[in-house]
Amino acid sequence: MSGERNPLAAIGPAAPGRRGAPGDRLLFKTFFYSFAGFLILFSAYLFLANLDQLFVTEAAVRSREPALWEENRKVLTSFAGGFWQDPYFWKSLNLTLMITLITTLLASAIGIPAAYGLSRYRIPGKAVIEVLFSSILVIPASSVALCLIVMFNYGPLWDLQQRWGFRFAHSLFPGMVIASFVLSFALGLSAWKAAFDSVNPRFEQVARSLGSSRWRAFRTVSLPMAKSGLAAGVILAWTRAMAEFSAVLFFCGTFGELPPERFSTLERALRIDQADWLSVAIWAQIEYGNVEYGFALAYILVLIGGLSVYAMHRIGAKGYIW
Amino acid sequence: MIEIRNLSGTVGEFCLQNINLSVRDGEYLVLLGPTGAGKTVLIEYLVGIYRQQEGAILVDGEDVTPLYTEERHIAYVPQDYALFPNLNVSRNIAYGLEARRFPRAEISRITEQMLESLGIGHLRHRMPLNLSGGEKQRVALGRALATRPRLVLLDEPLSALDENLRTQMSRELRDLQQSNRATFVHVCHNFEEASAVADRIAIMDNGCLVQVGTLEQVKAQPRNEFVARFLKTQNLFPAVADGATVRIHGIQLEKKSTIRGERVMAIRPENIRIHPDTESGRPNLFRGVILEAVPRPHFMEYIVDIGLKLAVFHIGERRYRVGDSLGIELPQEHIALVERA
Amino acid sequence: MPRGFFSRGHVWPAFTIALILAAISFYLFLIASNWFYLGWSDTLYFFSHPRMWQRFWLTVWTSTVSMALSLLIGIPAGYALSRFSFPCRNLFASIVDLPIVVSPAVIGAFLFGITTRFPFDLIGEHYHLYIGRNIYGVLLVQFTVTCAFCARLMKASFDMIPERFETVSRSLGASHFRTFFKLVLPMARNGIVASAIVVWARAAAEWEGLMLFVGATEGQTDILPFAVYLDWNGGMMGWVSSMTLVCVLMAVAAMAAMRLIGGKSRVW
Repeated sequence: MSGERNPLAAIGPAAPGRRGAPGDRLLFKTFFYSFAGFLILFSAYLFLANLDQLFVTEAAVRSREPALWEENRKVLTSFAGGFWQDPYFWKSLNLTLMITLITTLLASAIGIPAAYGLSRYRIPGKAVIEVLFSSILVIPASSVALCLIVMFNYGPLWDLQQRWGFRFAHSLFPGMVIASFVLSFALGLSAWKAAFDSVNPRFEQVARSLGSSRWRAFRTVSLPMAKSGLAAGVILAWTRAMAEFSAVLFFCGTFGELPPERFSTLERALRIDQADWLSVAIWAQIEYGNVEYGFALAYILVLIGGLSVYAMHRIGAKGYIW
Repeated sequence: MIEIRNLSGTVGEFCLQNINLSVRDGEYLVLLGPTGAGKTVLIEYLVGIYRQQEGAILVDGEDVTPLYTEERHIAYVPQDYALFPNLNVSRNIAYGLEARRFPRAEISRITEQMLESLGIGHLRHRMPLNLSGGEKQRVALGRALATRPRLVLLDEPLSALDENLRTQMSRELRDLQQSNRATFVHVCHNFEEASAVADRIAIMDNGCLVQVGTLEQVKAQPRNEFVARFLKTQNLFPAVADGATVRIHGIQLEKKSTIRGERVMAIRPENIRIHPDTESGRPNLFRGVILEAVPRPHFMEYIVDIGLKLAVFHIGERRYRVGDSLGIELPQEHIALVERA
Repeated sequence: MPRGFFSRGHVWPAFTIALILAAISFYLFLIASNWFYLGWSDTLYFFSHPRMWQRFWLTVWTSTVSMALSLLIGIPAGYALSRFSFPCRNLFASIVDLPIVVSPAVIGAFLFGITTRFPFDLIGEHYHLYIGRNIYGVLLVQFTVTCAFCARLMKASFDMIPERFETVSRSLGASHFRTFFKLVLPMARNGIVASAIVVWARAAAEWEGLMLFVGATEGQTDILPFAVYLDWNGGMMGWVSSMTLVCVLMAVAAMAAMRLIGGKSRVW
């Protein structure tokens, strides 16, 4: 029969022992799960193990007291530094939320149309633009912050500020918005571009063949279709603005210790005077010695960050991470 | 009346060369060609997604080349229909009317009428995501027709449907075009699909328009070997014609024509006649032996050897078997002499 | 008929492109401002100073070590996140992402909080390895941030490979491990290399954690981004500007290299 000439016949049936070994699958899964598990446990440990820093121990109070060199400042020795009683905390939260809201609105207003243009139109040097925006996200935040300082406090922009008699740096309103805008915009732009990339341009072509102008086709077709991706980008931009630290520290500094006369009546009316950017406040409080207070603020930031990243996972966002 | 004059251009790897084509009002034209022939590029030029490098597209005598897509009034139905997923069925149909700023009463009247005539009134509040293929297509057609465009472009409208639905939808397409008195240009790569709907067929190959004509015209006299092959003319043989006869290998056929020289002889399998008796002394009658007999849905396909291997489609009660000896007639009027590809 | 650039059809594209141009010129001005400030001769002076290159190489080797550690954990973890399904996926994914999305100052504070406890005190006792105000602290900070980052990037690279290939490979009799090492890893190679570059750049950019947790030791823990802060506090504007220049060049070079390989730093 022809079976004898079949070249496969010489090999014979597959060795039974090598296939379907029950241990293989188990070992494989255990191996990979252990790494993922390490990652999750490490992260969870990092964030949960610090919960006891919120409680004040007697030893800590005693060791802290002689280190105080200022008499007009009281030591916060209650649970979590008693942050909810402190107007400084509420003002800081108020300030941070207000500024990040402005930043996010500004970034969305500029970034969504720009991302649409980047995704749809043929623009020369697109590769260079992409390298520029993705490298903004991996340039050390201290360098970005320093670039901001040099950009606004030296050269032509400084002359301009001198002439107009106002300052970008070390101010609440334009200063903090600029500082938190730089990275938040770069991150949001990438997410928005990804959202528009995932919408097939065919839909717009059809809309235009039915008589829509470009703007109308964008508004009625692309925008609603990219809606969830855009929303995720807005959350991402806001989270990044909340997480900003170096740029605000370098470019604006701290305001908590400044006398009230330094703030305008509007700032006082909005209750954002004598307040700090939240992440800067964490650093300032821990450096000062109010460890519990600092950690309480840190946990508030962790809560906000965790909720927004969970929201992004639920939406199924696409984009860069920093 | 749409006229394409000397249109040339390149999009990506596709290149169109000197296309001349006119589409009459109320006509159903099918643009036929293999994958990569440049049909979709031609459609994209007509819609205005790209601009052609040379030539003009005239709609009712006006050159629309400088116009944007939205100003051309040419509706476009892509292969995947591109129904707007964020709008329900009736909003999808009303989309073009809203974009063209029709009065509100008019919009709802036309939308209702469109839903009614397409038989999709019960779907009006559904979202496009959970519609079947046929329903999606009806909505896409309704959306395209609602604004009464000067031309409707259909890019492979039936290829996403299954076989049974395809025949039904092709009939509906034809009816819709007739009842709306619309002008359709339909792109496909399937000859059967084209023959079911077309008034005229335009055949494209390699960026060039090879032949335009009614179905009968292109079937009877294909321009060249490529067209003949594409229209499923299985019997193609290199031949030498001398005005009165055609010689193929050792066989001589009678065929009066003005063509002389080397050509390809083409004859469609359904035009070859079978005579059980071989004595009638007709011209171009040969004796042949059946090599293969393949039953097809509506006819029998025989492979017959008369010195050439011919495919013959035979409709009729009588069945022949492999090895039967028959008279095979190649009617002179059905023999076509075409250029080599 | 003649059409102006701002006729009906062009207003929207012109608007979007104008915004793009504005954004690009802002960012280009931003990252180039240091060089305008320094000028040629000062740039050459600071670049020829050994203090700069000592810090540069310190940055390079620490971030390379933390990249290697991150890849070791991140590749298998990313594969697990990409392929296996488990309950509360979104919750666990958010926990993994936390070190990346919260303010880096928080990470510094939290690392400062745990280094006197369970695993670290044991390591200190048994191996006489102190993790804190030294180079190990730098590595720990970099590792904490880049490890999660690396896992996310790897998940994205593995997501791009259809699971079909693995099914076929196993149907042909290859074991799970064989499939992973002989098929999935080579297929994901480009993505892994591109991600490794991004991870390296991210590690070289980390400094906020150092401020609270490690502190400054000249020549030991002052990696470039941290040194920018230290020298800025010291008022050495020339050093700060030239180091910023180096950091920017490092980041741009890394991203350009990543793009040449054809990678994306997209994660979600």
